[in-house]
Amino acid sequence: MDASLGPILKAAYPQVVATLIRVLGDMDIAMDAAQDALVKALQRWQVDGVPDNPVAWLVTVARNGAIDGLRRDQRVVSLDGSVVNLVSTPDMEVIESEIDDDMLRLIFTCCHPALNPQVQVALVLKVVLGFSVEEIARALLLSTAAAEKRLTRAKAQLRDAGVEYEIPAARELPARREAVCRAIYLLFNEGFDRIHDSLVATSPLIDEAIRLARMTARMFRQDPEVRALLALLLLSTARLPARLDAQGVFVPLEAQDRSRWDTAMIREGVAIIDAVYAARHPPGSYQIQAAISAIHSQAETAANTDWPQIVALYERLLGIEDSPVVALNRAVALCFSGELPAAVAAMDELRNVKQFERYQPWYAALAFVEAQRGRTDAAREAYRVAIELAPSVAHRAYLERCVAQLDA
Amino acid sequence: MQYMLLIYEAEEIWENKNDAEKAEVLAGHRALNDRLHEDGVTFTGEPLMPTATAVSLRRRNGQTQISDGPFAETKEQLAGFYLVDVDSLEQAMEYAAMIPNNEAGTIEVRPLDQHILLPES
Repeated sequence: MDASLGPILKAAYPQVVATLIRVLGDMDIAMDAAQDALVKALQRWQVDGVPDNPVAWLVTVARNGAIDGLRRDQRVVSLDGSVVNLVSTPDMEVIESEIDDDMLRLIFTCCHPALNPQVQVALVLKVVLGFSVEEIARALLLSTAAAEKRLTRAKAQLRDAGVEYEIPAARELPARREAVCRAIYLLFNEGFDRIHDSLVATSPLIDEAIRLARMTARMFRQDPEVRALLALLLLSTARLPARLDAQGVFVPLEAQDRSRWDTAMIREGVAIIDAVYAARHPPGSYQIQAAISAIHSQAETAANTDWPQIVALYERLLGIEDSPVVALNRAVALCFSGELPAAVAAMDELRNVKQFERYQPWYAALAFVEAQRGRTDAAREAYRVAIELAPSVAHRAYLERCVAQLDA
Repeated sequence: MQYMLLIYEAEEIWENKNDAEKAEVLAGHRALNDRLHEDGVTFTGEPLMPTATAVSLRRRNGQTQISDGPFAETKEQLAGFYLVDVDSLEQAMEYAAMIPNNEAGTIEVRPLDQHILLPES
């Protein structure tokens, strides 16, 4: 195969599916038709070269193929008026702005609030990114049957909720955009969780989340939050190579070997967040999180980090989302900025938070702060619970090392 | 005569390449660089970061407006450039044809207008 065809087809796939769903009115028929068209493209383009507008070529071929199939199945008589009209439509001109609108429609549909977030992620993988059921099962650590079931449920939920395949009204856009960002972030975190104990520096889910964030950032051109999300994902991914040491033990940010960070990703992430801040938007949640990540990424050492600035950013974030997790991060940042009494006071305020009862990062942070103020017994007790709740072997090994240092 | 060779390509094309495919494109640029050196051509060239890193400025009614993101909404984005000093358009086009990105994108060749002079200060 001509090596240049793969990336072109991969880039075109979501746009082709998005347009076909609108034109054909059915998600399954659209995806089958898109697959057939990709196969034809592989054969034809190697001989004839890549057409000027690959998306339009694929849509036309897929649509014609689907209509032929429908005719053969005699299903066309039972279909609703829109498809029958379409059969009589002369060769379709795909207008580029329409394709963008179709992509928006598709992403909005997959991230519809009527669907629960887990289902949204499965649907995005299938419909937007073209994963097979087997690939979804592998990516989300499900059995093939369970993945299949999740997709079936997604489509049923879409049908039951009477979800329209449409771009939401302008007033709904901000809320829906948040759902899209959340789904991308969840996809990213799924990828993150898959590689806890593994020395590999990335996972397909992380790569796809970044790809999706790039695509979404291009569509929501006026939206700084989507671009900030992209920056946040890049900056977080850049640090992955340093998160485990040679023995496979977890290394926290402040102890990481910064020479192992991916400098190209950091350069791009920082450049994006610089551009977003230059336009002086009122900062949103992803912008602040990306700014915090950018400060870490640019500090030469943990000690050189501008911790007071990070504390200030967490305080701004608290003003937007009053969450105990953000408050916990602020408390830890206070501790690193040398303000131990303030950090202790901030931790004390969080001691009875219900959400933290089985929340591992709370116990790890508590242990750290208690150790800093010399309360070894309290630290040891908090480490004990943190170890019990540790999400991975690598984390457990790290926490056990911390306990050993307490005793030393 | 100096020519700008402007490389336009949909950003997804690069994003969707795997490491081996990216290496192939970079090897093509390496070959072009070597050839320009061999031919004794004075030139420069750089890739650009993606448009998500762009800032656009406009001056309207005496006010500078800043927005993040690229100026134009287009399918293909400016991805990089070469500036070459050669004798003819034919030569510039010969080098432009060697830019590996022309398989999925477009190379625009434009002469610099060196007859426009800045007024004396």
